[in-house]
Amino acid sequence: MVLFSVLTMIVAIALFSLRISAINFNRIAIIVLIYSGFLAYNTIYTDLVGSGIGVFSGLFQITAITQSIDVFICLIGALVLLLGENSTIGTGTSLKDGVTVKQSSMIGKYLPVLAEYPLIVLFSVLGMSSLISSSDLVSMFLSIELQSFAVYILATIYRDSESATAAGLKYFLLGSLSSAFILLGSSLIYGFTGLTSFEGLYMLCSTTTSNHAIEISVLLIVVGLLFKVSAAPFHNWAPDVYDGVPTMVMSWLVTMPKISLLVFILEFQGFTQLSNWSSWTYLLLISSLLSLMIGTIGGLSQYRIKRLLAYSTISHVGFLLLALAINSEESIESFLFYLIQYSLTNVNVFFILIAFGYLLHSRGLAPYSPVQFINQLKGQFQMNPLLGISLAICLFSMAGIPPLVGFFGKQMVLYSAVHNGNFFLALVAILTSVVSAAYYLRVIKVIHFDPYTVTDTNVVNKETVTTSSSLVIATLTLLLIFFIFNPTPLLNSAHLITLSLFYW
Amino acid sequence: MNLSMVLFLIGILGFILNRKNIILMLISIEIMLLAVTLLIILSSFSFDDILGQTYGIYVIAIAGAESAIGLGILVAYYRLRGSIAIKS
Repeated sequence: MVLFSVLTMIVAIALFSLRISAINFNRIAIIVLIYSGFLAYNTIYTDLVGSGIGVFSGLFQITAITQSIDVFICLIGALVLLLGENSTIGTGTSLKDGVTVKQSSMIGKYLPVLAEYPLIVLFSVLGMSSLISSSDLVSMFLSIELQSFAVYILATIYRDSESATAAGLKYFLLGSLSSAFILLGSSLIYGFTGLTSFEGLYMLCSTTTSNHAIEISVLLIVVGLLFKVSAAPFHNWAPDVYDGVPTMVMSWLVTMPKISLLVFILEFQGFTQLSNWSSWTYLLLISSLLSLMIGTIGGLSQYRIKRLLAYSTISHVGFLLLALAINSEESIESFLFYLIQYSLTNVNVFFILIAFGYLLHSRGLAPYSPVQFINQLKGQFQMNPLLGISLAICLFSMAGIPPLVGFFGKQMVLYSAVHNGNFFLALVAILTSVVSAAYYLRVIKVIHFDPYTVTDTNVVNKETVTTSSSLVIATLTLLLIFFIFNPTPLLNSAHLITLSLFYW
Repeated sequence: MNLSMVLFLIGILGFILNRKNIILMLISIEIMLLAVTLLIILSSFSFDDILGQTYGIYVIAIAGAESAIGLGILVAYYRLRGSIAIKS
């Protein structure tokens, strides 16, 4: 479905981009994503799918977990597209020509809507959904490249912005370095064994006792993947890139590739990690320890809000990798739950930031990313109490304050870590999450308690947040709060997916 | 195999040690990808296996697309900055 719509949209954008406005393309892409999520949901028959169905002569394997994550990716993708739409619409004026319209009214410049944006996003979703179901080295590499090419283009899609192109160039160079590592690992596996399918690799690994050649090549692949999810020793690009790109693109960069790559690491681990090989676990544990520490310590000194969010992403990746490294049933369950709640919270934070920027942009700020510094949010609680409270709730949830959903994610990860005997890492995780609460609290303090300084009183700010954006913010925030009253659907589905992974 | 490993190492070293311009970094990435292609094709030749050769063709195509995207981003960057030098 995604593939067909990608093809249609290529033709449609080439031919009709003058008649169909870019916002309509965006909405079509949202509908496409929701529909393909529905189709993926329709194919979850656990009895039938069972241990997995190979399609395209075994290049891809459909299991219950790939289908469920596919549904999730499509829904989150639709949300992020909606976010992009909300960050670009001007007030009441129609953007007919799409690409070239720049508004220079008295209110300020708006971000132009690009007709190519939803197309590239659909390419990226195509790469993600084929990545999580790939079961062959060739299809793995091709889907990783499809996804990351789309993301490189997305990072530089606003090519008038200097920071965005610089960030995109950096992202491209380091991302292609990491894909060269992935490719080297997969070609070494092929060179040593002559196998490319994961099934064959699994059989080979379970029969031989210890094979350093295969181990090293698998580790090379994992290093490349960790590079792409910006885990700690390989995280240096993340704050620069995320700070440079526009906010709506950053929301895509932070949430989406991480979901697919982490789920792929989970499946790849299932194929190649065996009990007598410990290098996988050590690599993931070291990376998780470093990401936890660097993510929290680096975030403390940031005054730009997007760098702060980038560091908080690194520390959350640390939690996710901790859950992955333990690799027991409950830790995988906590991994899935943490992934879901983290992406929802993150999308909500970006919605709120875009809404703040939308309300704030009358002050002549940079059009590409309206809210750049934490100080710009000073005293916004007096102006928009509900938005302030929602942002506070999201940040509390990321910090892991008890009644919110983030607490349960962290608690499940820590519980499984302690249960497995990783006391040191659990202790480090607790300490770092306390330290990271400090910088979340600083943002909350700036919003709520700092005095609001009116610099220019002549601009009467009469704009309101768009309906769809406020609807999404309200829904996600209430989801974060009221999760505690009805936790069973999310927890049970995570549990069932995990069980389908372990017992088929 | 040794030849392609040496080529890959040359690519990595060129990527890391280079402090002058971005074109060299793109070329180093190309060298890495082509070294891997050489490795794949050599091993598929010694296995007498068709799969590796198809994989090699895929990798060549991907490398072409990658350098095209990289040059596109580079041109956009050059238009705005006026230079492609990496400042310290």
